[in-house]
Amino acid sequence: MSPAGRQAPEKSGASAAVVTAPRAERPSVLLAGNPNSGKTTLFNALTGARAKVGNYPGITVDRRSAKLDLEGGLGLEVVDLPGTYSLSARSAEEEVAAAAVLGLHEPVPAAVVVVVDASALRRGLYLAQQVVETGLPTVVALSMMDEARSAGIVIDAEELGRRLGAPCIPIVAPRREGLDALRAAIGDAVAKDADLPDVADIDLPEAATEKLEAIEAVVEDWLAPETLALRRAWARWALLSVGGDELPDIPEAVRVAVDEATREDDPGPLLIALRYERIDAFVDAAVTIEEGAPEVSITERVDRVILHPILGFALFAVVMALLFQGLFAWSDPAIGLVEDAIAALQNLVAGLMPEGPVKRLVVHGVIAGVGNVLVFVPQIALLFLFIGILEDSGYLARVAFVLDRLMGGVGLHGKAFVPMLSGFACAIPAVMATRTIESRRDRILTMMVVPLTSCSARLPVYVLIIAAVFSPDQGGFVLFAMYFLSVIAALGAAFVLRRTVLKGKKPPLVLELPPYRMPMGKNLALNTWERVRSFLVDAGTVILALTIVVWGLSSYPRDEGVAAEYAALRAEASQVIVESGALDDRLSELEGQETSAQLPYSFAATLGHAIEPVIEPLGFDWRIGVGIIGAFAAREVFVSTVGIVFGLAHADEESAPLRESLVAATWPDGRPLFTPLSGLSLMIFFVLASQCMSTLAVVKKETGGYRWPTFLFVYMTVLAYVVSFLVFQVGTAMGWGTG
Amino acid sequence: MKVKVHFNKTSALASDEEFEHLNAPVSNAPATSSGARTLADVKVGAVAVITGVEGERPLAIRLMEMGLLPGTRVEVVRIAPLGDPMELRLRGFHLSIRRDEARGLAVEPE
Repeated sequence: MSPAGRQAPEKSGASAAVVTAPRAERPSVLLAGNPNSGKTTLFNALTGARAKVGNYPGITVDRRSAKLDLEGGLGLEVVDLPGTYSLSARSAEEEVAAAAVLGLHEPVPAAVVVVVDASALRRGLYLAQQVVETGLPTVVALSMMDEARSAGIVIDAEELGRRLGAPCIPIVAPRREGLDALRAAIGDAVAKDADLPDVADIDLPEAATEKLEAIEAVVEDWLAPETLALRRAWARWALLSVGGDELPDIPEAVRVAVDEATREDDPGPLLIALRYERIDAFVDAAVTIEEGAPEVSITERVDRVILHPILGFALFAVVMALLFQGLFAWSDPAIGLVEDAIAALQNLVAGLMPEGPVKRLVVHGVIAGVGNVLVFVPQIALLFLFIGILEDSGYLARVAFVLDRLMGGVGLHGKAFVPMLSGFACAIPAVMATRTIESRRDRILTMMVVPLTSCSARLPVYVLIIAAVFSPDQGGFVLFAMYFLSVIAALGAAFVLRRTVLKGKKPPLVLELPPYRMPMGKNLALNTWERVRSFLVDAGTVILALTIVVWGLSSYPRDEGVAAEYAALRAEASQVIVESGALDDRLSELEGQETSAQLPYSFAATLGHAIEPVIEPLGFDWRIGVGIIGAFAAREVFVSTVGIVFGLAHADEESAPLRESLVAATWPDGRPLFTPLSGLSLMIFFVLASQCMSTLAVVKKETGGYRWPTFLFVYMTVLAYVVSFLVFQVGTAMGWGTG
Repeated sequence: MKVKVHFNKTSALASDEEFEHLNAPVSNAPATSSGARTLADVKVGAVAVITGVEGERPLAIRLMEMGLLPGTRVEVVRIAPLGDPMELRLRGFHLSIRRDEARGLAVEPE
């Protein structure tokens, strides 16, 4: 690991090659392990946490990798595989670990490190046993040794290693205990000089062996694995994975072979039973439980409170209230700072650049777009910090346990609760938070309904409209009704989508309730940073580009006459007003007026007029249409866009002049534009419509294609249109709130 | 594909003498359909031994790979406040499954 090690003279020949070798040629070492086994902590401790985050081919699962330089000059690439209990897979996501170990899309690794939680040895050894069966050099890291010791579990690691056929190294990753020994064992494994007796393979009955050999024959045609052990491992993997699965790229011949082998006297259960029998024998030989170990674990004591029918719910409510308060209120100062910084930057750059299209593009397109991206960062960081704490402490699994029934009623996963709740603050971090849900179908369902929860960007729109068309004593009720509608819409949409577009058997709940553990600050910080970075790089670029497009639509084309008129006014002001503060105020006022004066010539206005016949049955005219188009940049932009349309640049939702303009606005025939009914229709449209391009950008990133964001946009927009249409038309026919 | 698995001690493949120890002295019909007790009927705090796994193959395999095999001792630790799912303790760890899934696991009292 140390640079000095690489320069050690006796290794000069090899080390020179390693130092100059391109990264891609580093032998790869995979880190496999159960969820909650301490795998990520070990990865960070081994590699110094300089992870490179990429994607596995064709799938949105993060591939975290980092360099590891061993003493003696061996340079490796360590890959942190997704946590898994078994190599067997039913979906493309679950297949990632097996594909990496067995070498499906890339060459087989030089070695595999299986992280096994020493306090839950039997379960972790099942995965280790599967990996050993591949014949690849394997090292077992026995993690959480401190917990095992305090539970009175004494492990003879050498004995365990001899029986398993892979060296077992006890470690406590946070304290760096055992890491040197682990690095040495990895080096030996890669060099293939681990000093271990050969361990015989699992002894299957002849009938089962014959069935597996039939599968091996088709595996040979499919992948031509390098070794007999790998071919056998692939056959066993196929036996336990294929059939009733959603795996991509399994050749028909393999499906047929597995179907034939399992139709009668399925050898699969027997294979699993024999593996566990072997593991039980290892554990009996190598593990002793000390006398006087605590009978009731701390976790069990804590769970008696946390999963208590009354106390548990009370605590849950407090935790969720804190999370929500944090997202809503604590992120506010940071969001304010971002907005102020962007505004200051805009002013600064505006002062430095000459007037013209380039300046407008930079100030109102690019810098505003960067602001549109950065403004999400405080909430994303906070949410992932919270989720990291909930997940690493073990509480998130309890949330899923407690809420599974409630959420399951509409077909949602128990873990969908946190994303749904977060959606009331902002859909962007909420969509990203669906990653805690393992099944792809459950995750996509959650992503499809989260944008219906009433995010904080809708609030300014409600506030403006309620203040304009409802009396103060109706206002609170109307606002409540909008939030209620959004909850009903989200749950209803889940219920319907589950039975139509995302139809399928409810995935089983097989959920580990891990022991409670103190989250580690370093892991939390790294995880939060990786999420923020991934947002900035992947979704941020799309949001920036779309912001510029929306800005372009509402700013171009311009009328040269208007431009010349305002240029003259500016020049005049500069000559007449001497005091610089007053001059700035006047220039800013002129800029706002010019924006309003130019708007009728823009594409957005043309579009607004073009869609007027379509939105008129909802009670909206072209000006509201322009506001809706502007709202694609971010919903709250509706307020400032409508402000510009009504000649009131820089207006916010509390602005009295804007409210008065709305009240006074009429259709050409003199009917008022804003009535309680049309206001209601507009607010309902905002609750239901997919108007946030940032959400669409994040959904595209998280689902890995255009299919789901397109579906999301279409279904929400159609839903919004139909409901607003019905409300306005029925309301008009009944004569409700039209005057 | 709706392949069902019935795995109990009478799996034909384990009938050779060498593997007979995997067979336990229980009924040979799939226990769940013969009205015997399943894990879903076990009371909180009670310990039961699994005698058979039955169900659609992918789920049955998943449960078995998590360690819910014939012969395994399972304690029902608690039921979630809303009545489902249930929390189990087996092989030194805690696992949660729904009653629907537990119905595929035939058990006998310890």
